[in-house]
This record gives sequence, structure tokens and C-alpha cells, in this order.
Amino acid sequence: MALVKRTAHVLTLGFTAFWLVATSRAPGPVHPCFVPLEAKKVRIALGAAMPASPGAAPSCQGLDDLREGAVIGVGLIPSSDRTARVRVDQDDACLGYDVTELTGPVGLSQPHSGDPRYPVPRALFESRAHFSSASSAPRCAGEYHISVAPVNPLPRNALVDPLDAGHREPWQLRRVIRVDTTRVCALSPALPPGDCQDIFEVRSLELGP
Amino acid sequence: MSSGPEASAPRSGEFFAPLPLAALALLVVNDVYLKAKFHNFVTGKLSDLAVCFLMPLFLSELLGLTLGIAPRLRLTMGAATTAVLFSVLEVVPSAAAWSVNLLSRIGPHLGLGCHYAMTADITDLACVPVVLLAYGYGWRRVLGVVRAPELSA
Repeated sequence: MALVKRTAHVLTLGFTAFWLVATSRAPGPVHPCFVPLEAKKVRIALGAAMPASPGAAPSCQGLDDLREGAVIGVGLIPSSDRTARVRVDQDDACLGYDVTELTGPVGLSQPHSGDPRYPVPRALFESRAHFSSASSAPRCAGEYHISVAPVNPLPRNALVDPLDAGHREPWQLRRVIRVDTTRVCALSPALPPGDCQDIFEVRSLELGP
Repeated sequence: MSSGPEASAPRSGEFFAPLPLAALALLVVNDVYLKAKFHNFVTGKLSDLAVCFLMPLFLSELLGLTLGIAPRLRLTMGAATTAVLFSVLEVVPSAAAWSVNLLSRIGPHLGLGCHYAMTADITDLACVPVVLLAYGYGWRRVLGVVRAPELSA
């Protein structure tokens, strides 16, 4: 009995420490932030790349052919209820879309939606994929992450229309490639192992294939 | 050489007790269910009240179990730490930002993700006096255990 009580005591202390951290995670669950899209596919036209902030990861230099003027196609389905159990800051925890298809960037395989436990704040969608570049030797390979979100904080008690992206509201597409540390991408200048990142303005977001 | 009641005081007992455990349960229920369902002023304050009550006793018990600190001192340390920490986080935005940054580094190792939020709200300071209640409760818990052998003598 003493052992049981002591075990319960230790477990309770451990759980309390855990929950004192966890309690700062969120005031509420994910919630709808966007006007529903009435199509299963969208086209996103990219504008200029935003200048990198000091200390940010270097540019990916078009490893995946994403540049100003590129158009990507995304197949979307509304996120399932599982995301309602995610705990993030209420203002940014958006019930968005899961990605079923991703066209435009080259070198991608196995695109899928990001881990619902750790969503990108305010994102309409985010997707991960395996990336392998055929434009350099030796081949660059690694993890690929892409997300699209409004630039500004979301208004309370109002839905944002994704179709306003680039016209009435600034949106951005953020793409990160985590290069496999065992390989070096032979580009000029050489892209070292680690993350590279580009943030593009979204020029437009339209429905359709 | 110490003498008096505190010399024989237990190293724990103030946290593993009905009220602090009830506060812990309230904190969990509020975070998991009540906030999601209601998300109003009351649910926002319930967590603060629970933390202000259980955290001094939690810290005190840890100090007793790990360092063998005497009850009066460890209860004071637990209460003071909670009051100061809670107040600073509510009043100094940079402190809250620093804490969020720290939690975002710790959280993933606990399976909690990396997104945290702390809203600096000066009205939350109304919960700080609860720390005094926690101190009093902890002292009665420990003192009750200490006095029992004398009463039975």
C-alpha cells in the first residue's frame, strides 16, 4: 500500500509539472477562419519573393522551380475533426484544408498534410513531401514543407476569403526545404545542408485545376 | 541542531492533499473541456485560480522532497516564487515573450508541440492573493501532521 501511494505521489508530481507547461498552450481549439472554398482544387500564382530577414535560412534558389510568376495547383479537402483536438493559440488556430494533390514544384513525391498537432498559424493549408532535385549533381534531397496563409492577423468574428488573396488582402506562400545533411547540393553558390526557405507574395488564388 | 515541531516535520504532505489535487483536476478539466466549450471570462480565470493555488504547494513539496527544506521556508519559497512569477508574466510583456520562447523549446520534448500563448492581462493579478490561501492551507496540512504526535502523547 505504501508503494502504491508513493508511486501515485510521484506520478502526480510528474503530471503536475507536465500540465503546468501544457496549460500555456491554448485558450481554445481550432476554429473556422476562412470562407469555404467551393472547389476541390485551387491555383495559386506567386508574386515576388520577400526579402529574407536577418538570420533567416538562405533562399532555396529555385531548387523546385518555384519563382516569381510560377503557378502551383493544390487539391484540397476540408480538414477533419481531428484537428479540433489541436491545442494552439486561439487566434491563429484555423480549421483549414488537407492537401490531396500538389502540382507545380518539381521533385516532389508523397505530398501529404502536415502533422495536425502542430499546425502553421493562420494557414489555409500546409503540406509536406519528400523532395529530390534532378537539376543539380549530386542530387539534393530532403523534406519539403509548403504553407499558404494571410499575412495579417485574422479578424475576430469574421471569416477571411482566400479568393481575396493578392487583391484585397496580402497572403504569402512559405516554402522550406530541409536538405539531407548527408548530401551537399552543388549549386552556385553552394547550398549547405540544412534548411533553405523562400516566402513569396501570393499574386492570386483562384478556384479550378 | 534544529528543534521544535519543524525538526520532525514531514518532507511532503502539502501538495498530495485533497484541495491541491482538486485544483489540479479543475485545471485539467478546464483546459481540456470547459475552455473549448464555453471560452468565456470564467474559463479564462479558472486556470489562473487553480495555478495560483496548486503551484505554491507543488513547488513547496518538491523543495521538501528533494532538498529537505523545512516547511515554513519551503512554503514561503513556493508562495513567493509563484506570486512573483505570475505577476511578472502578467505585467511585463517581454517576460511573457521569453517564457513563450522557453516553452516552445521545452514543449516538443514533452509531446506538447511548439505553439504557446501567454496573454498579459493585468486583471489576472486578482488571482495572486490565492497564493496566500495556498500558503495557509499548506501550513495547516504540515502543522496538522507535526502536531498529531504531541496531541496523542
